[in-house]
Amino acid sequence: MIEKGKINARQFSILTLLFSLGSAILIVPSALTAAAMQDGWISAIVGVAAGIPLLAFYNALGSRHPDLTLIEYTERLLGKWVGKIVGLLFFSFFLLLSALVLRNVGDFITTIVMPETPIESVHFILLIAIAMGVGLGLEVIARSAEIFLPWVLMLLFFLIVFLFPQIEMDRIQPVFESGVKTIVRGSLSVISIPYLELVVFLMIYPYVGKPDRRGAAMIKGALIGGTVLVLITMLCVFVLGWDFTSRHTFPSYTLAKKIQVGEFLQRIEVLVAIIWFLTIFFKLVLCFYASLLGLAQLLKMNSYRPLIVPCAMIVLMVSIVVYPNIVYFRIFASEIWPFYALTTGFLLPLLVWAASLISSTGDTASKSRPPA
Amino acid sequence: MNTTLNKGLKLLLLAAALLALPGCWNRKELNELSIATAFGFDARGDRYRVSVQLVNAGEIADKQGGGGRVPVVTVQQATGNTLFESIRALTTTTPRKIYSSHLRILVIGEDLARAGIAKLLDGLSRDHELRTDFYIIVARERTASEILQVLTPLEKIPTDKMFSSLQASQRNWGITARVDLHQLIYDLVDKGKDPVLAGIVIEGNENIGGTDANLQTVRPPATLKYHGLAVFRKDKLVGWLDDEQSKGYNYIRGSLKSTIVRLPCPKGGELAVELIRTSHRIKGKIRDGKPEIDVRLNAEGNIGEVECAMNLNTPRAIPRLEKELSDAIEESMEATIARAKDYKSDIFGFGAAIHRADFRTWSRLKDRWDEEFVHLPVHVTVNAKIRRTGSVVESFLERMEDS
Amino acid sequence: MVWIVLAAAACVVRFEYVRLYRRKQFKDLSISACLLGFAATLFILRSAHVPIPDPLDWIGAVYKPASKFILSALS
Repeated sequence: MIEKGKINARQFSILTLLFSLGSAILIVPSALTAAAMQDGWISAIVGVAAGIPLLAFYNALGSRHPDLTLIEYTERLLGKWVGKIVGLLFFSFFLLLSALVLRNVGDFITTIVMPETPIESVHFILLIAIAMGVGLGLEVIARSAEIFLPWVLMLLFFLIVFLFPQIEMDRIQPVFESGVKTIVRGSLSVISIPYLELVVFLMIYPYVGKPDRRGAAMIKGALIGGTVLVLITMLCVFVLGWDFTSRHTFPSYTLAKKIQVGEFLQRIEVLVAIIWFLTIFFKLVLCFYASLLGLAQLLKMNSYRPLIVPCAMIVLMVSIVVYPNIVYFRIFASEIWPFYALTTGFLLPLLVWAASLISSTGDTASKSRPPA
Repeated sequence: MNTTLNKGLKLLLLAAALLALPGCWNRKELNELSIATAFGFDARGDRYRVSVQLVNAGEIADKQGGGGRVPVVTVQQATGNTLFESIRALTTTTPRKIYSSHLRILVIGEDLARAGIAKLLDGLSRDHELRTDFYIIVARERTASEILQVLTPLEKIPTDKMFSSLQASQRNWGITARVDLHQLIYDLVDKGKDPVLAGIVIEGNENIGGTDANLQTVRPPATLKYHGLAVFRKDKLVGWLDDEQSKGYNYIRGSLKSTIVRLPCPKGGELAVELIRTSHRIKGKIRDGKPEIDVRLNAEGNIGEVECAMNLNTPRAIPRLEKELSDAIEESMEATIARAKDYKSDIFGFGAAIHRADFRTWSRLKDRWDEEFVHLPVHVTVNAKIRRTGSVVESFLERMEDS
Repeated sequence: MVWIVLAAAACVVRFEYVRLYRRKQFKDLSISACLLGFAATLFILRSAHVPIPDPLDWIGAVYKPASKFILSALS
């Protein structure tokens, strides 16, 4: 085992929660309202509802091999060549996801806060922090998530409460104007960001104590994260209106700009942006960690440490190259990403699961009888 | 690694982080900024002229013996083909780069408003420095740059006076409208509501308005005053609402917090009721495939001033006054609706109410809404209650007349 | 940018690789060195303004037909 750390179920839910908030909270309200207008929040609920069975499936898969990570049992089940190729596909998904998430943060900072700063510098500095985090190991990451969680929750609470006076119920009407088809189309964005990306957690599964509690912890975290997403989308529609939300690149930030309590609590939107930084940081750290661990396991290395700097450099390069402008990204995220994420996040694990059922070499299954 | 090297590295990392924190490329030193408090946009042929009111930071700081010789603000102008270009062209006259995050007021000249304001707003909504919380007003019969050049005696920065006057007058008098960029864009996009903006004029001699002389007499020769509401159809200015009609508009939209309503007394003379609370409801209905609107207003007021000999102590006095009050408010609202129909401009959001009620009918109607609006039946119901009569019940005027 | 990255690479070589060499973990060393070389090459190419291919383009090419089909079914 390359990773010797152990985290408990509570930390696991916290990580899932922060991961699902991650870049979703920045991008998703815009995509939801662009598709379903003021019914974007209904799309969000549909997306969360679809995510839960998906997570149950991940749990089923992870429980069949409670001491191995996704890439380890993929190789074991599908054989040396096919297994390694599928494993490589998983690895490239994780790495690409890290680059995309990094680019999200970079875009956010250079659009909103510091437009003249070259995006590479922002990425570079953040990557230093990520590299340090990954170098310190899973336990440290989980513990720091525990430390930061109260801040995230508190700021979210303030965001919601301070915006209450600005809610106009009229803006959510007429309800169901978009029709079922459009609502389902909108929910694709919630399903792909973040639920299909939660396949990353199958790399951490074996290190969570109490194997029977893992599934519940993951679902709990993702459910809370999904609820926050629905709430934020609703708030965007109530306060900004669906048109504004769909046109802005980062509607949750515009939402924070509107906070005005009396004459003294205003212009605090950057404080609220801390929520975004923290959640994206954890999403990024987990994706990067999963990719490093995966590659190390694929290539049967002793430790993933020597991979940290080279892979970080690759992520840096990919994050800069990956899209030339924001329009490309919006089109990619709404039209192509759901399908790519569906393949790597659902179809491939389905394949692995089927293989696991067929060969019944699941560790829990083979306890009482010899392997077939 | 030994611990001193470790500590050294950590310190280095901290220092590096500190370097990054204030932002190298995006640093804004305070003495490099010119803070803009108000922008003014005018049409100049088919180009834009932008004026900006900048704070003269040195003069703002409290000094002994004010009444300064140097104006506290300066207004610069530039012309360009698009908005963004004009604002950049301003750098040829302003000494420093303009920092617009503190913008409080945007004045649009009447000519430009008549030509259409939608194009200007896109540049404003995209800029990351600008927020959406500044108010937009229309300069009436004047250019925006003339409005920005009037100095005000009580407030050092004229923009502050424009800002707080707008807030106060909408809350306490009800003849203006506070519209910020967010609200304006929302109204422009929504086919069911046309925008409305407050109008501002210069009363008096504007040539002196921009000079020191304006600050030196007890009664200034030139003052900025809010007057009427500008009615837009889509994004073009088509007309103005006078004071009574503006009140009607605010009644219907429910944005009136407090105002004074004059009622005739039974025996001649007038009395005034101060409204302290209103709650409104606009409901759209479809009847036989045709749209209809119900506007309901609940108002609560106190008697503010009795200028006639009326006995308020009788049980029938107050209900009768309440009825008169309701009628007066209804009349106001209906007059405004009629005027808006003249302009073919649905400034109340009735279309949006129909949309909320039945979106299928709305999608049929929305493209010809300005025609449909003219024939839209609107039922206005006002329920006014008078609660208190101030510190005095009976007016001394009544006693005075008797004896 | 290139210089900072190359400097970071040099640091890695100095600290990590010496350690790996001493522990005789040659496999780890070689894999890491390959990746490091690859990444460094990318950066050098980029600073020479050679266009680097974009993985999203490849993914887009693969999934475009499926995307068009499913999205139009849902409109």
